[in-house]
Amino acid sequence: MNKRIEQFNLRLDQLLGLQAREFNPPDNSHERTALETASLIHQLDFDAEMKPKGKWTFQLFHPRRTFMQTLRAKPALIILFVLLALTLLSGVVYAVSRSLGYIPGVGIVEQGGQLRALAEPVSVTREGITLTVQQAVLSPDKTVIQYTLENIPPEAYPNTEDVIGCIRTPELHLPDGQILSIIQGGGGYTLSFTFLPIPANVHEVVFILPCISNTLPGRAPENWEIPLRFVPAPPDLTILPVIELPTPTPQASAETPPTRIDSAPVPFQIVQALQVGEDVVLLGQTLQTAQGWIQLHTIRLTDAAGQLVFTTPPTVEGLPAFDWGVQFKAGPPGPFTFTLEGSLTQTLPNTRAEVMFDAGPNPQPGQTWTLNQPIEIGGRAVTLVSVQTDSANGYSFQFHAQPDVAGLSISIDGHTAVGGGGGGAQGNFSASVMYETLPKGQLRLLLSDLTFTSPIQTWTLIWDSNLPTASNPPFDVRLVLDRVIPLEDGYTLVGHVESGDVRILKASPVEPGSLSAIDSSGRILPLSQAAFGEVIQILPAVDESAWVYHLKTREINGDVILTLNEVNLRLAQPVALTLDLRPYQFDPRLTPVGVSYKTGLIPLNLPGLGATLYRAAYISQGNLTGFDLFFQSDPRLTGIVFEMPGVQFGQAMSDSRYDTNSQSLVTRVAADTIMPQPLELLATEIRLQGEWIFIWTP
Amino acid sequence: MYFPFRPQKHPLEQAFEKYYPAIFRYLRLRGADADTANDLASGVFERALSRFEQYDPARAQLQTWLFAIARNLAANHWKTENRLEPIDDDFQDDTHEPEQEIILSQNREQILAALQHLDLRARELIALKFGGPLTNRQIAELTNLTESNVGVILYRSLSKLRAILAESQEASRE
Repeated sequence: MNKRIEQFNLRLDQLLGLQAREFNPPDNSHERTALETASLIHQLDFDAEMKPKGKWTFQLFHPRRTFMQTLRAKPALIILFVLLALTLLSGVVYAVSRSLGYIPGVGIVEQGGQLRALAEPVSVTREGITLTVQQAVLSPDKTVIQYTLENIPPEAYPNTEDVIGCIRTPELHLPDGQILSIIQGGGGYTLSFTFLPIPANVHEVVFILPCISNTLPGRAPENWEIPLRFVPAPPDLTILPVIELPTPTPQASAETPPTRIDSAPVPFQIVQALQVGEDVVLLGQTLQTAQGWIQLHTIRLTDAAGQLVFTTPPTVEGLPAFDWGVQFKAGPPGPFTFTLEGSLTQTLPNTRAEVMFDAGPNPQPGQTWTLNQPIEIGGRAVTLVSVQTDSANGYSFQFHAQPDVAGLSISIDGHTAVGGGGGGAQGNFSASVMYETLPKGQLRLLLSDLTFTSPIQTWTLIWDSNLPTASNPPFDVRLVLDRVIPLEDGYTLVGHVESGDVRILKASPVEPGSLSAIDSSGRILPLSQAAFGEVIQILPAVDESAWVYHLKTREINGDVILTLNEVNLRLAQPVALTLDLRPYQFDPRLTPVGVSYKTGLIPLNLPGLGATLYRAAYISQGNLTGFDLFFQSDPRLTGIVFEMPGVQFGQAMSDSRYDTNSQSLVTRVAADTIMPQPLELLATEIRLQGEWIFIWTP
Repeated sequence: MYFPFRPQKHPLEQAFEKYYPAIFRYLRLRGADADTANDLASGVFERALSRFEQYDPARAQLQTWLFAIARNLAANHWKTENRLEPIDDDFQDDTHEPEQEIILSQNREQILAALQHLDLRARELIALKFGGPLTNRQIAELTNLTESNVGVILYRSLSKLRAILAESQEASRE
């Protein structure tokens, strides 16, 4: 290929991020203009148009709104919420949470309104094929339709890979012409599709199946239409209560003894916990790591007594998507310990090699060539042991390598494969590749994507249902508005944050910006911390724990909804933590800054919140030295303030941040002195995120 | 004692999150409107799910496999013969002068419309290149072209697209 074209394609790959090197614009005008055109195409943004259909509708495209976003979007909801809040302020306390129920065979539904069901199953038979809508359940949050298809002749389906059958999904047509979107769906004999909710005043819809999935045009009846009628769900419809349980997971690697590390923490997380009737379901996800992807091999769950208590995967139907999950009968004492075994698989990018193989002019089925040809790929030695033709116009290649090599990709230059296979273990693996017609003669084999698998590793997660729930924030924190002082351009608002929990000495808003305001129409009101001059004028009336804000408008539609998102809580009893790195030869005078230590599991016994120290990194900041302390913690915990009672210093700091790489809360403690060992720390204050609301009627 | 683990979340779900946008982008560049692109891209994963047992990670990257399905679906949708013939690998330098004026203000519709003026093969390669994005080797595997053919076609196609865009910009000024 022309050198210029080669250079152009290299730069094009850099532009598209396919080459790691930084993009350098060319000085050649032909190439530059072509790359400018490439850049125009590269910058085209189609994100807003993406609306996956059918079962491929995952949360990626439907990010969950926060409660406040929902309020802002729905003024009517605000009115309801104000009524609820006023009731709450009158002294009656409500636990605000969704009312969920579980219907066997259907899944989890919201029960906020009356449930409805199909009046009766409906069947239609066309050309010998019977479509029966067996069941429907209508709840405030969704519509579930279940149907079966029987007697579909096999010849209705394609029999080759390159022919595509019907890919359209069923639809629900409302009387006003509206077509409801599918949230998810699929299935085997019984197909179950979940649609958006049907309005409460609509009792009849038409179920339309444009064509039977994967059938060829003209081979099976199309455009099925079945009227459906809904009635209140029968009183004997089985609905088990569903309770959302807390998911915070103090967690850490089970690896002992602690060692110096460079890797991320436990790559697993519990994302949802539900009690469904008598069963508890815990759903989790596997986290991406910088080193590759985790292949989970085994999972087990033990209760506090060490007894195995679970089945996996859960048998409850209609659960949200998850990577792994367990189910067990409620009752055994917690905390519960997960033990997860898995291996890390990593494909080395840009690993390539080429090998010539002479298949001769007329290779025969079953013919074998023993080669034992050494190949270097990705800096590793791999041996192509043998090649064999198989019965499907293809070749099977047998390789040998070190035990950690799990496989590689292979193709034949100039030939497009139509299928393939492969597998193996412990460094002995095969790769087969098939073609429309068997390639012959001198063949250039292209090897790539060398893949490694780590030895099996073990991790643990701990879950305890006694932890407080997210919908019931801990420590009985309340936002209170004490005084409103009218101004020409708005109001000065004076209030405080209080806690009814004896474990909390003092509560205060995290400044600035943790307080916001909207009115009943959902409009965001201009609210900022009051200026010093404004505070001075009312000083005698406020104490040091008060917050003073300036609401810079008098144009308010209805009520003002004040929302606090983060609070500082001073603990009545400081919580001790000891960091002892002496067993790991840590010496503050000799150990270089940047060294990280796996500390083992050191629980920080904060009241009502899980936090476990698992890693400490020696750091410096200006003239201060100290540690970054990595915690796996309750997601509501956003900061911990430590004091160092045994350390003499002139200047010190304690600050927290969330580290997205390790997905951990990281608290930095540092001082302008040599850190003693062991280092005694006292957690005196915590920072908590949540949603605390006060409604004010001007 | 260990229990066998059977993950419930299908591996394609993760692939969906990663590659749906790429396949959607490919289909849009290929000429599909947004609705059709959503239909077809969703269909790619429906089909991949039904054929997932046939997928062999040792033979092809998942991305390449999904794009192969996408190409089949797209071809079937448009009922167009899209066999790509290799071209002469001896690249001759372009004789026309590149447009000197820098085109920076083209809107999306103009670019998509200009793409439709390219021949089918050029459009296909650009859609694969910028949709995936795919390497020239991956495109070569999918299209039965050589890797160097792909590079040459891309260069020529982008130069041609540049000229079409310049004409369209000139026409809109007039």
